[in-house]
This record gives sequence, structure tokens and C-alpha cells, in this order.
Amino acid sequence: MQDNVATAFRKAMRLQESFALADPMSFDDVPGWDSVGHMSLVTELESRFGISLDMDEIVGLDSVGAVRTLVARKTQV
Amino acid sequence: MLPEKLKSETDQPIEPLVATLFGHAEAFPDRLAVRTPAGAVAYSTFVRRIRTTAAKIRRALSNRGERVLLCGPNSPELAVAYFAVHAAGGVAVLLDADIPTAGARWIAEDAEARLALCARELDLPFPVANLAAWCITEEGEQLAAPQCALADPADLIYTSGTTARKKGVLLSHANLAHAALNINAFLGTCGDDLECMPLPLSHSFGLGRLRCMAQVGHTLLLQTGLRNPALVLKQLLAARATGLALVPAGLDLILRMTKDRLGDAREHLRYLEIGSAALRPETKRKVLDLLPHTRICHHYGLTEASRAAFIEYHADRDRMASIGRPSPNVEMAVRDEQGGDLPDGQEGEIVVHGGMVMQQYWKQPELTRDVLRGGWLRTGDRGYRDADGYYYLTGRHGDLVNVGGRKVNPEEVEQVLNGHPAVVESACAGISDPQGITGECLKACLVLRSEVRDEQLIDWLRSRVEEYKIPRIWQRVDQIAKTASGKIQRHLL
Repeated sequence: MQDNVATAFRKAMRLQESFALADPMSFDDVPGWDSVGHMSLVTELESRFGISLDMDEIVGLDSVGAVRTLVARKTQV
Repeated sequence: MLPEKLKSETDQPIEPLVATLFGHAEAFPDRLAVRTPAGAVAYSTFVRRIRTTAAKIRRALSNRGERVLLCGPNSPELAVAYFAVHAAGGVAVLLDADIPTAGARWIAEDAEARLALCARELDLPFPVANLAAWCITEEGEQLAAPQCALADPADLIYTSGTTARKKGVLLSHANLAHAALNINAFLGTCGDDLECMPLPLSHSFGLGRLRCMAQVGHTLLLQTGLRNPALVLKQLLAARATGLALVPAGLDLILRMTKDRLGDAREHLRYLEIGSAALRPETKRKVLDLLPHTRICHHYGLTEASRAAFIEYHADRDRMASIGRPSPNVEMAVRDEQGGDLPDGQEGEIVVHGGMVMQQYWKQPELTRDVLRGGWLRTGDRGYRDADGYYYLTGRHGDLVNVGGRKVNPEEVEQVLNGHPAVVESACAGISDPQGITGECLKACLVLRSEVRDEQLIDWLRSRVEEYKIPRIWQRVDQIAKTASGKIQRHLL
């Protein structure tokens, strides 16, 4: 599942395979994480993991670690 | 119900906006000028910081009218710096917060700038001061009064042109004050308003909102962009904001990420200003349904002529395809190629006239003469006027691509792509955004000498151009379609 989060990021932000994602990384640290990238990320997460995110959950997606934590929580339910 | 508009504070003589701002600090010192999620700055403090920063800038400049670069994300300090440059008699040149160094150096050289205040390190051939360090203090010498007059140049704003070379649009203090007056008159902004402003101050739309605040004396809830669109709405709802400014892409993003939660603002949001690009018809209908009491105001304008026209969608539900009618104090017309006025219903070039029309293109007198005729600005946009005075756009001149309200010249991106070792030749053009967010986006066609992945080319571009300029669709081709004279046929891409 964790690898899938990285894959979702790479696809949404159009990152090279060699780009290393780390949990503390936020908007400024991940190339392409602008508003369109953020939208693509949400779409990617919802389709890849079969989850639905509400406004407060999307607001909280402000770091790689936050995305991992949310996906882990939503997929456990 | 929505609060009534109390009293318009725009009925005042035209003066440099920074002078009006100084007056606000006397008239209502405790009112908040700028709020951020991290804190708030009252008008008294805001103006004291402007006076202190202006004294420092004044000492650093040799003459009035010298250009000062400003670079940083939205912050109270950037707003202070902007007005401090004006107060010091300088000309403000705002750069995108993420502008690549090469782009900043080109602008610095073209503008013949003498000083820069930046939130990040930029390697420029003149002093670069730390924006926050210069603009947050209230201690030290303070400039007593603004050192600028209405006719003086105030802003030099670089925009993408129809050639690879960017155009510097020179605006006077009178231009800025007239534009703010017209906008405030249409929106009905008053001193009690609290406005959410996520748009970058480095662009005309966002900067225009700051100027309107300086004139009317309301409060800006300054946000750091639309990267997290749901956060913009959450802060708007928490603050019970009465105003909001958004580009269509931002509005679409908020609607898609938060479902119908924008409707939660219906009891306090008095106005929504939209601009810089067309709004999708389904988005218009959705916003009208969600915000039945809010003035939904869409502007048409250019950096060269800020907010030339407005439409309010509730009032003109049956004309939602129109760009509206001329803004207060603005004239518009449709002309033929010889400059003759065309009758209603006939298509031609839209021209505008008013106090907000720019002074000139910086150091480009021929281009200036070409677009400015007797005080009328040729917009390059084609359209017509109906019998009731409403204007409709039918096309745009040139190859510029409008990506979420930001103009991109395909040539600039092609030049960078052509520098990649794997690329023989490239051609870019605007296409409809397949995600339905930014209206248009860039498509790149490539003739390659060796294999290369899209992500490698994106990586190459990321260090050389801004993110929104990066193509979203990539295609490998054997050759690029060109005219006999060698010009790329973008419509065939």
C-alpha cells in the first residue's frame, strides 16, 4: 500500500522514478505539487484506493506523510 | 441575510493609492489591513512598516522612477514592499515567487533594476535585500509622505507577448487609482468587507485586489495560493469572509474538491470576483445556484487595461456568454482594421479607453504606437457588441495560451525544449485541458534524436520555466507542420 502511495504521487506530479519521496516533504519539496497536482493527487488516491475524501481530509493533505497516514486510516475501515 | 453595504468609501479624489493608504492609517488605525492564517496587521502598523521600508528604499535608489524587483509568495511583507516602493518614488516590478533565476535575470536587465527585495535567494547583478527583514520592522527612519505623483510610473508588469520576448507594461499611479476606482464601484466593496485573496500578488488580478484594498480600506485575508484549494474554502468559511477573488480554474478546483461546500458561504459572501479566463457554463450555473445572494462578477481585462468590462451573472442570467458592459468610467468599441467604428453585431477588434489604460510598453515604442491609438488601446481580441451594449468575444489574436488565467507563449517553452539533448525540434500549442480545470493547457509535439521519457523532459523544464508552462500532453512526431516560410502551424498540432 505504501508503494502505491508513492506511485500515486509520481503519477499525479509527473515525477521521475528516481525522485525519492520522504514523509516530511510538503508542497515546496515535491515538484509539480501545485493546485492541479493536488487535484490530480486526490483523484488518483480516490480511484487507486477506492476511497472518498471530504473537504477536511483534503485540507489535511499537506505532506507526503499526511497522505500516507490518511490512506492507511481510510483503507483500514 | 447578507450585511447591507454601509457606505461606499470610493467617492474620493484620484490620488496615488499609497497616499490613500496613508490616510486610512489616520482615519481607522485599528482596522485590519491584512490578515493571514498566522496573524493580522492593522492599518496603522501596515502604514508604519511602509514608511520605514520606503525610507530604506529611498536611500538605496539614486533617482525617482528607478525599478525595484519584488519576489515572494503572498505575505503582508510583500504587500508592504509594494507600497513602500511607490512611496519611495520607485517603480515596482513583481516577479513570480517561483521564477527561475534566468527569467529573473532577464527581467532585471530589461527593467534596468537597481534593487531587489526577495523572499528567496536570487543571483542578480545588484543588491538583493531580504524581503521579510526589510519589511517587518517599524523602527528607524520613516518616510513622512509619499514621494510620487499621479503621472509618475508606478508598476512595470511583465506579460507574455505574441513574440518570444516578454512585454513590460508600464502603469502610472493614475492608472492604478483609476482601475481601483472602477473595480470598487462595480463590486460595491466597502470598508467593512473581509476578502479572501488566494491569487498571487505577482499577477495583475491579485495585485489589483491589493490596490482595491488600498483605496477602499477593507481587509484582505491574504492566502498563499490555491495549491490546497479546499484550505482556501475552509479559511473563507471560518472567517465568514464577505469577498472572494478567484480565477476560473481555482473556482473549478474548489467545487470539485469540496463538492457543494461553497454554498455554506451563501449567508456572508457578498461578492465574488472572477477573471483572467473564461468560466465554463456548467460552473457558472453551479455557482449561481450555490450563492444566490452573492454578486458573481466576472471581469474582462488585460494587464494593459485592467478590468475593462464586467458582468454580474445573477443580473444578466440571460447573457452569460457575454463579457458584459464597459466598467464604470470606461469606454469600449469594436473597430475594423482601419480603425473605423463598427455597428452593433459586426465582428472586429475590441478597443478600450479609460484612465486605467497603460502608459506604454517598456522600451518598445513601435509596439506601443501599434496598440495605443489616440488613448484607445487595441486589445487584440476579436468580438462584437449587441444592441444593448453587451460585448461578446469571438477570438483572440496570436498564439498565446491561457492556462488557468496565466498567459503562456508557446515559443518560450519550445526554445527550452529545443535545448534538451534528445530533442531535434519541438512545437507547442494550446489545447482544451483534458482534466477540465485550467481551460487550456499546452501540448508539445517533439521530433527526437534519441529516446526520452516525458518525465525527463518535465524535469528539464521544471528548472527552467514556471510549472504552469509545462505541457500536459506529449506527442512524438516525424516532423512539425510548417508554412512555406517556416512558421509552425500550431492549429495543426
